[in-house]
Amino acid sequence: MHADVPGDDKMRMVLRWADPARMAGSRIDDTLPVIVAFMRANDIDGVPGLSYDDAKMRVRMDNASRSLEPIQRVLASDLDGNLEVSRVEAETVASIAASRPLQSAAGLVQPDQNQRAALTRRLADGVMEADRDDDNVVSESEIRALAAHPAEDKENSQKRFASQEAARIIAWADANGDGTATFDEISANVRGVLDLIDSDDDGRITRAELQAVK
Amino acid sequence: MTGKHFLCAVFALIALPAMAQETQPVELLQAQQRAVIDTLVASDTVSEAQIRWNSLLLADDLDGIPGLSERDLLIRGAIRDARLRAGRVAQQLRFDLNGDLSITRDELLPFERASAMGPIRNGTRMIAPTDVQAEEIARQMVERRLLADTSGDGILTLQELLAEPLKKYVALSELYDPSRAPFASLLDGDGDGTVTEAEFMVPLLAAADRMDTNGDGIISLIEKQQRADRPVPKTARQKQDRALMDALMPRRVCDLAPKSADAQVLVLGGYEGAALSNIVFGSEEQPAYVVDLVIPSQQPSRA
Repeated sequence: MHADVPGDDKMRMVLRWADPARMAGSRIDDTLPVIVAFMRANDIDGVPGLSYDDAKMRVRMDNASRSLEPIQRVLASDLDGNLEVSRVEAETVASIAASRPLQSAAGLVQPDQNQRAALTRRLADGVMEADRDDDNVVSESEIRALAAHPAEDKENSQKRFASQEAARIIAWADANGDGTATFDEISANVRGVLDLIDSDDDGRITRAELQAVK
Repeated sequence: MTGKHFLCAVFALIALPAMAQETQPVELLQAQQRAVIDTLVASDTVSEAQIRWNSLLLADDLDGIPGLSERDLLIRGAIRDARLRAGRVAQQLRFDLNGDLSITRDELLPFERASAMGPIRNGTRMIAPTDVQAEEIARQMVERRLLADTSGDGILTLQELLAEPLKKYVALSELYDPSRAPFASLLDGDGDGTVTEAEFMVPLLAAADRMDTNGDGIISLIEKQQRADRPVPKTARQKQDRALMDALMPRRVCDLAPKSADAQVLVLGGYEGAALSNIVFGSEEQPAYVVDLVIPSQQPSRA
């Protein structure tokens, strides 16, 4: 007995987890809870069931990672670990990269002292961009300012929200349209897909059956 | 060998000469030779090889005084520490959801729930944790992350994050302690504690003489293929690298009592955040007795 024909996204998502879930056994009854558990990994707001709050939280988690590069770049020049970066520190670190040989039309050349000094300054400038008051020190407060999460335009933000797995699961599993996909609703949907894959209706998913729908 | 590894090999050579000469002279000389050969093989002419080789010296010559000295190595150590520290802090700051450069329990929980809610691998099987189990796993993982919260206020501050990796990597920094590694390099020909450009160039020029058999200053493909210093096989190279690392890492003495002849030592380990569950020793047919259980401290131990 097959449930409703699942949409492409639902099938894709079940197939994504079906292979690792087969470690639980080939019986649908064994595989099903593991696939649902993979999807439950999106339930991060502490309220049972997948809601749009979970998707929003995921977007915030992604945002937190996106603002780290500038902080890491500045802290990598903080040689004495005092949460301040002076120009001397920035230039000391930059001088390593500035010592690399340059490729010219005539072949490999050693940068001369002036070239090295110029490149060192330029690379250090990249770090010192964070020095907003131009006192040649990136202070702790200036480092803290780097941590502010970058603003994102609305369209981009909506795209990222919609691409979250939680939002995608809610789109096909939220039967009563209350904005939350309960794990019963998700289980019913996943079972429907697994029943569809189980072409000989023996209650087991074989490799061949998985291959047939991929 | 990538540029980074290449640099590390050369730097290692310079960093610990005296200690290494006492303990692993063969490996160090081999590593030096390898770095030289790699430079020559990567170059079309001897002068190009000189440029590449010299850039290694320049990259480490950081104190503004020509030549490589202990001070340069200390600065290099500080740079390495700062990079490690920055990487470690950035890794932690991915949990900082509101961008205030501190991490609270509430910020950690969603991340740990995402890990804990998923299925658990139990041997060759996979099982789905119950809600209670998942929440407990998430809670324990949060507490584990908060171990670095030295003030105990439930918030990881930037200062605490910065302090943590420094503690972790202090053993590596010891490499640059002059009293542990007096600067008398394989390359420091006159033993004055400074490797000059000329001294640094000696092993390269010696190898170039051997490789550039017709002395035309061009390292041809045939000369590269015919060189006496063939690259060592991968497994031998791994052994050399391990020996080099052994020479570099501070040694610790194991103070455990010697095991009896019929006992076995089992070492269990796991990556950060990974749980070890259901560990079974022996079987019903083959009883096993745990004589002693040693749980090392947080600090990774090579004892």
